[in-house]
Amino acid sequence: MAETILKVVDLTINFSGLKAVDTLNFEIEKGEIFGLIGPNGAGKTTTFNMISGALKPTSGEVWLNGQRIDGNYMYQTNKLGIARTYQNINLFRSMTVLENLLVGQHCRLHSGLFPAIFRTPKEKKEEEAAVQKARDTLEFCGLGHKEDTYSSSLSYGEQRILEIARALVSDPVLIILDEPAAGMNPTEKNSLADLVKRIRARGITVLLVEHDMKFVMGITDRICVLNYGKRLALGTPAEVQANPEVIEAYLGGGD
Amino acid sequence: MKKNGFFETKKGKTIAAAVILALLVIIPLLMDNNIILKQNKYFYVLLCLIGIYTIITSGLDILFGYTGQISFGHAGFFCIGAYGSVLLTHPGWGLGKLTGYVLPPILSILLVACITACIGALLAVPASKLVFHFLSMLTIAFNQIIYLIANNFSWLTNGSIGITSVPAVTILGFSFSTVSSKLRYYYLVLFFVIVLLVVKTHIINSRVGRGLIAIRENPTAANGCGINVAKYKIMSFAISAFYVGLAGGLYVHMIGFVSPDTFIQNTSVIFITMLLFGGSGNLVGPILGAAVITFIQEGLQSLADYRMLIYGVLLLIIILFQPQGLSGLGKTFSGLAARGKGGESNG
Ligand SMILES: Nc1ncnc2c1ncn2[C@@H]1O[C@H](COP(=O)(O)OP(=O)(O)OP(=O)(O)O)[C@@H](O)[C@H]1O
Ligand SMILES: [Mg+2]
Repeated sequence: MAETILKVVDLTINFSGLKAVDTLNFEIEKGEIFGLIGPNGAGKTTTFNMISGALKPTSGEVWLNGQRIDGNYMYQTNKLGIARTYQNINLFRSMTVLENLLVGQHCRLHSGLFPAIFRTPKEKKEEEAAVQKARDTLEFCGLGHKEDTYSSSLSYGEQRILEIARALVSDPVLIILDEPAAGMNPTEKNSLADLVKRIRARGITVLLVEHDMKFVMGITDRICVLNYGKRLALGTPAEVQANPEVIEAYLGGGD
Repeated sequence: MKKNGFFETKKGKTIAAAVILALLVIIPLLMDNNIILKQNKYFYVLLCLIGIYTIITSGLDILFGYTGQISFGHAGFFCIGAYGSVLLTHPGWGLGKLTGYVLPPILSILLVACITACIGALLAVPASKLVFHFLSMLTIAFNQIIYLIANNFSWLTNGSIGITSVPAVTILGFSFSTVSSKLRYYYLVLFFVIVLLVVKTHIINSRVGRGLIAIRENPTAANGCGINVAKYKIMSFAISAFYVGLAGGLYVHMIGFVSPDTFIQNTSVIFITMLLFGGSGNLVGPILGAAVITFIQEGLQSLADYRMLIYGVLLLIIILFQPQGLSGLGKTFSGLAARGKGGESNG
């Protein structure tokens, strides 16, 4: 039996009357690629926001490696080992690609104000190592040739990859990707799928939301289907695809 | 778009800085040997003021240009620095009046900078939760409160009359009295300007500085990258206040006099204007802004009637045609040149 890395228990959030997520339960095993799917407005991003700490759940619990993490802020969950990307790309636009990855390492670096002011040898060494690590991660993600480019002038697909790289560079145990393939062409989607697999091969668990069914079915080990904030189905891609309720939600919903 | 250009390389920057520094040291020295300029003491006051305003705008730049937080209350910090240093060094007021002991001015300048930083941090606790327009209002209110304290608490500050005979800076028995030699005070100010600009550069190019810029660029992503946004905003306010508090101390020991009307709301607006005029979010912009606006404000005293007009027209030109401020001119020109040569290729 594999270890559980993330456990979501009765997770619920109430937006002034609207239950965007309603008593949601699932567990993700270590080393898995886990998909969260559902029609528009099903509550997928909201679930991600509660796991990563961007939103506080109204009730319910989130556990990471046996530690309860709901109620933490994003900067805290990042340090605990959750890194994420965003559905609407959130890059540091006037920074270069490399600088984005230096910010991505914030929680793993230690130099504060005074080491910075006095440029202590320790601070210099840490900065050099950070630059090296940023370069290695960019190389791993296929953005090595772009390190001095401003992130705002990258193509849409490259910006999505950069967000993944920025998440990856913080050495997460769990990486959360919100619609990573959105706006990508088929070639870019293929290399994204390859990248996600290589991330998992590094021992990092992946949780992703994606509307492209071919992409999701081809890459995930298990899938949780959400509809109106509730869990509709959970299982392997084959099981989920055969589930009549899921077919109904997707086809009957007129999506 | 990529980074390029000689003055963006490390070597280019070092050379440019060394040349400018040499000029700043040598030129006033030569001028001091010129009998005519030597008579005109006001020239040095102008240079000192530019230095002091450079410290202020650079400090404001850390908060506004890099962290993206507005403050219309920096004259409040300036006031705390100035009055603070008077109250710690003046034999007839504050500490001197209460205990009979005073601090040496140079020590008190550094101490008030630290005190101002603490007050900045306190103000930032509520400020760190506010967005742009509410933050503007909070900082305006802060400025107003500090001004009213300076103006109305006569037992402490002598009210609107102000305090005269502020002691001069003395370091190891070496007097920086502006009566005997203004050139010396210029070098003292220059020293602080250089140290604080180096400190600013070091902060900006560090993990902390990246955190500040990340907040300006995208607070959500900054939070997701492990940056405690509220804490970093507080830190930015404190650093910014440190700069302005120190400038307040330097100012008051140069002028030798302090009164509340220096620290009215308008002064805060002028600080912001200097920064926007010169260009925010870089090293050179605040210096240019401080220099040009100070020249216009102080240098054109004889043209008093037209001063505000010149000032207004220049500001309008900058806002309309050069939103990045004077420091962006280089980029604008190289952009124009590239367009002229390369045709559509740059488009
Ligand atoms: N901050 C908020 N305040 C109020 N309602 C919200 C908020 N965030 C999301 N919602 C609502 O909650 C529901 C779920 O939104 P969510 O963004 O999680 O959907 P999603 O599954 O990610 O959809 P999509 O596929 O379009 O990204 C929607 O009805 C949305 O309007
Ligand atoms: Mg979504």
